[in-house]
Amino acid sequence: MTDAGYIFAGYAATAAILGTYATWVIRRRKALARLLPPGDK
Amino acid sequence: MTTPPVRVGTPTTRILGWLTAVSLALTAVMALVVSPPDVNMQDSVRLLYLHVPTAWLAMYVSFGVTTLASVLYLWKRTRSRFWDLTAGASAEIGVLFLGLTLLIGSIWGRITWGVWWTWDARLTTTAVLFVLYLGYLAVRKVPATPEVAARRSAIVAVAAFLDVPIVHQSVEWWRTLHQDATILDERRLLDPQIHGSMAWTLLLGVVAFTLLYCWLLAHRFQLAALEDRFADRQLQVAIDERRAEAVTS
Repeated sequence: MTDAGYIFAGYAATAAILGTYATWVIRRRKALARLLPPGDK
Repeated sequence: MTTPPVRVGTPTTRILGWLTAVSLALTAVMALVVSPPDVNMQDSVRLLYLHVPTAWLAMYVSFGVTTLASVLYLWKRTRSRFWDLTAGASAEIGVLFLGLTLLIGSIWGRITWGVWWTWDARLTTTAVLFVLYLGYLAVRKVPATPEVAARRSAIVAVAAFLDVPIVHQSVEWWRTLHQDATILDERRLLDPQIHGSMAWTLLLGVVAFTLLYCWLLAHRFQLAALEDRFADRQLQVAIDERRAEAVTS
């Protein structure tokens, strides 16, 4: 792999990992918010 | 202990989200297009615009907030579920950022040193820090009453933070391949060894990742508070069911 390939892989991995985590947090938060009655949130 | 109130999707978090997205996009453009290659590292320096901010966020900000929140929890006058949830949320984000620091550093090492990993003092103490905070997150999952779980987690958090100054000083205390601190070095605070667009890109990266940390912390805290309330509710439902069974039998 060339240096550019490694650099691209580093940026892509960072974006993928942070994006996946942020999506998981928001989706789980919304799912739990739906399960709880309004007075409990 | 009562779980703090949860405010989901406030205007503040939305504005913070947009600021984070814009600053991260700007950092990527500056790092990959605008800033020049380094004299010694060539293009691999572009990875340091991710490596340095993630390390800063993980070690000093995330784990610092976790330690401060844990101390405030352990102190009786300020003890509150808010501090325990804040400590847990910040540590999880810190582990994520530290994992990225190790990953990006490993890729940079492959280009510059020719190896993915070496048992260098800075790398080893950082890996130990990563394992310590993974352990902290595991301790938080051990079943116990909320008070007991929060107290022992807080003690583990404070103990784990002792590795942070060791990581910081590792490049001074031992002969290492890892370069010295460029900015966070008390001898170079007024004369950092980075200039021009490279310095601005690094600064922008630190600002962008700090905004990302704040945004993630707000959302992860809200999730933790909801998980807390959901667990309380499940427990209450189970207790009500047992009572109903006792009445009917």
